Parts: sequence; structure tokens; C-alpha cells
Amino acid sequence: MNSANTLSPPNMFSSMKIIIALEVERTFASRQGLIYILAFAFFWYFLLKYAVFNETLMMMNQVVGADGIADKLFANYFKVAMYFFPLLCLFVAANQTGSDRERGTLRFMTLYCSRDVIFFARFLSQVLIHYILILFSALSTLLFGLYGGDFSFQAISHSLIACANIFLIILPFIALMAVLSATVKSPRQATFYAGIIWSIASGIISLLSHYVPAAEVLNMLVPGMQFSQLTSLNGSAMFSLAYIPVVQCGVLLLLGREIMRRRSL
Amino acid sequence: MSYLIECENLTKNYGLKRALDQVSFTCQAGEPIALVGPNGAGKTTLFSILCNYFNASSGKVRILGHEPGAKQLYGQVAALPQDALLDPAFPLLKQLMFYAQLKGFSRAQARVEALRVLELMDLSASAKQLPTQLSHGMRKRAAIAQALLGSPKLVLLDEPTAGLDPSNAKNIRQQISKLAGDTTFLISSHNIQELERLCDTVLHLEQGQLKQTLQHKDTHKQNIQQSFLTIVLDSVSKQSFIENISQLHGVSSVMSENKNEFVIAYDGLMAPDLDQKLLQQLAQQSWTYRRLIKGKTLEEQLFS
Repeated sequence: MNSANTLSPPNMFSSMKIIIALEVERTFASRQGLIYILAFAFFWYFLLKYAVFNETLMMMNQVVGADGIADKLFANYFKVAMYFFPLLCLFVAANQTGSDRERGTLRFMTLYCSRDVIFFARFLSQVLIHYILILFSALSTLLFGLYGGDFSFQAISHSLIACANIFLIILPFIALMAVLSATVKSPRQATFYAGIIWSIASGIISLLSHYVPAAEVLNMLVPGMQFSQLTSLNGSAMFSLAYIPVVQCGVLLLLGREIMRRRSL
Repeated sequence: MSYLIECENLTKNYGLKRALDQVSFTCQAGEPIALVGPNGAGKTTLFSILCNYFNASSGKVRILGHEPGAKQLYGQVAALPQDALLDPAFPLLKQLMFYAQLKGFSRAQARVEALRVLELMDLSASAKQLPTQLSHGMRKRAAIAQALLGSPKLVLLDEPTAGLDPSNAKNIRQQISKLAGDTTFLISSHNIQELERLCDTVLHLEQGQLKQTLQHKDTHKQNIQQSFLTIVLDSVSKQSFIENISQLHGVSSVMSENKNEFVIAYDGLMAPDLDQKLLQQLAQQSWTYRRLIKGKTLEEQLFS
């Protein structure tokens, strides 16, 4: 058998892979995780049925000579998912390191790998988990489209563009929860503070920009600030705003990493 | 010279309170090292700095020549942190496999290693249980099992036997004795007798300051003119024992602070064979003894 003298700890990426595998297992293979997944499936079914599919059918009936269902279906899917998944992040991604720090479990983990590895691995775990849920939601929308009689390569193309944009949109929200989780004591607190930060920051910035129009640039700090612009764009044009969530995510991750490094365990 | 642990003027402040005050010491790899001191002496603070749970306010720390938290120390330093709990979501075996993998074991090896340390801590039957299903003592043993994964060079144990039943406490002491040498243990405990049995070096902290460092083996190599014997008797009249033994050649004083325990101070040059004469005296007086120690007990050395 190996002894520690002949063993060398895995590199940063291998350590992250081990942590991510455990986190994915926590969500998709533990009892608590499965309850979350069932709750997600339940909510998503109703959103898909009423807010996406029925809405699409109504639009199709109102517009004479409308194109295939795919276009409208995925436009509606995108509008719903754009708000649903960031909201989901505030709950599902709220417990990245907070509970482990309060319980002392991080004290064990930091003897095996760095705080950076733990912080980024937990963030990437949440990204992966949310991407799986987004793919599930897009696939279920495709199936609804098929049920509605329009299954085409165009539908697949629309679903891929919508998915890719949702992938980008949720990044700063997961990063914000990573920062809050590294700061506060419980997932509930993290969710609460996320709500506060989101609403108060938006309120203050819009108030400021009313008097000082240049202050509008501060909107760049608020995750989701590009939502209203995104709804007016179609297809690959939506990627023109991709830099906003990417930059926000990067800034938040740097902040979270610093908090994680300095925090006493 | 390369030390296992090297602390130089280590200071830690919590606001206005100074938890560690200019603590300096060095330890070499080998026999277990004890860290003793009353509550609030700074033992857990020192452990936490060594484990990189937080930084010292000032001073220098090196473990195996590296700063705490350095990547070279991953897998080399293990710990039983005070009050830390394992993840309640996963069974013991799963969690220990996870830590073993982070230490560099393959998945298959990690399973073997996790089962090995569970066996050491007599927890094989609980391998598939969640930490929340275990008693306090079992959870502590599981955390110690975690610290024994692989063969770390340094294991820091904060109150390892507190809250354990005598049989499990004995098992942990046996495991520490068995592994000592390849692994150096730094043990914080209030149980002086336990530390006396296990440890060679004793670091005594009080009010954040390192009051003294004792080499236990050196306590037997006493100052020849000021030597001590400590004896614990079954049952005896304190007065008659003191009177009787005080008359032996070379004895300067006989003191008793605990019931039936006596510390005999004598001149080792005048009476190099006092221990044998003492035993003869016990036989003559039909006094039976439980323990005879050359030198003072650790408790006497630290607190008298």
C-alpha cells in the first residue's frame, strides 16, 4: 500500500475534480439533493407548460402567418429562463462554503488542499449543476416543441443559443453567492443578503443616475443589468452582451477568493 | 538544523486580548510532544496557527521548513481540530475516501486506506453511517481516523481523548504509541497523566506565554545533588511514613500534597541507592506501593 512518503498530493486541477465530483454527487445522488431536484422539476414543469408553451400557442393564434413554433417557443423559453435560473442560483448556490466553515469541515479540507482550490471547485460545482439543470430545461422545451408538431434543426439551433446565453447570464449570480457564502454564516443569510444587495444596489443606482446620468455606468456592477437589453436582441446578436456577465463574474470571483484567503476558519 | 516545528516570537491578538505572547520554541521529529496549560492558555490558538486556520499577528512559524498552509505541507500535516465536524451528508467511508483521494490515493487505494484507519479507530462497523448517526465519542474517533490517513509526518491532536470512554481513550493512546516515530504527534490535553505516558517533550503554556519546555526523559537525569523519588502507596499513615523515610541517609525532605503520594527529595551523591533502601523500608514496614517514579511526576514538575 502507498504511504504518504511515496504519495504526492494531486495537482490543483485533480483536487478540484475530486471536490466537484463530491458536490455533484451531493446534489444528484443524496436524499436532500434529490428533494431539491424534484422541487426544481415540479416548478419547471408548470413554468414550461403555462409561461412558455401556452404563451407560445396564444401568440401563434394571434399572429396571422406566423413562422414555425420553434422561434417563438425559444424566445419565450429564454425570457422565462433568464429570470428563473438566476433566482434559482440564489437558493441552490447559497451554500458553497458557509455551512462547512461554520461546522468546521473546512478545517479538515484545508489540510489537504488550498483555500483557492476549495473556493473555485465549489464555484465550478455549482456552475456544472446549474448547467445540467439548464440543459434539462432546454431539452424539455424541445420535447414540448416536438409535441407541438415542430421539431427542426432550427429548433435545436434556437435552443443552443438560448442555453449558451443562460449559461453566461447565471455566472455572476453563482459568483455572487460564492462571495456571500464565503462571508456570511448560513445559506439563508447568503440568499437574504443577495436579495438585499440586488434590490438596494439597483435602487440606489437608478436614483443616482436620475440626478447624475453618468452614474448609470454603475449598473455594470449589478448582475443581470443587461436583461432588458437582451430581450430586444435575437439569435447570435445576444452574444454581443456576453462580456458583461463574464467581467462581473471575474470581478466577483477575485473578491471572493480574497475573502476566502483572509477569513479565519 | 531543520526542525519539525519552529516558532519565533509568535503573537496573536484578538482585538485587545493577547492570546499568544511572544511564543518561541522548536520541536524535532520523533516522540510525541505535549502541549499543556489551563483553559484559555492559548493552546487551540497555537494549533490553529500551525494548521493555518488563521494567521499570527506577528512572529514566524515554520513546519518542516515551510509556512503553515504551504502546498508542500498538504498530506504531511494532519490534525484533529477542536469542535470540527465532518460533513453530515455523507457516510464516514465516503468522506474518508474523499480525503484520502485529496492526499493522492487512487479511488481503489483510498477505499483500502479509509477502511484501514476506520479499523484502527474501531469504527469498521460504522463505515456506512452518517456522522449524525454517531455518538460524540464515535465522531471524535472518526475525526482522528481522518488525521491518520496516509502517513503524515506531523499530526496535531487537540484534546484527542476528551469525552471518550476509558477503553477508547486507551485505544487512541495505544495507536499514538504505535505510530510515534514515523509520525510526530503534538497533543494538547488536560489529562496530565495521559501526556506523561505518551510524550517526551512538554510545552507548558500559560496566559499565552510559554512558561517552560520540559524534556520528559531528562527529568530522570536529575541534578545529582537534588534528586527526587515519587511514590504512591496503597494506604499508609502520612505522619509515620514521613517520619520513617526522613530518617534515611541522604533524604532532605518528604512532601505529600496528594493522598498517599509522596515526593522524596534527597542528595543523589550521598544516597545513590535510595530507591533500593526505600523498597527495603517498605518491606520492613509492610507498606505496599502502587507506583514508584524516579523523579517528579509531570504534574509536580509543572505545577509545584
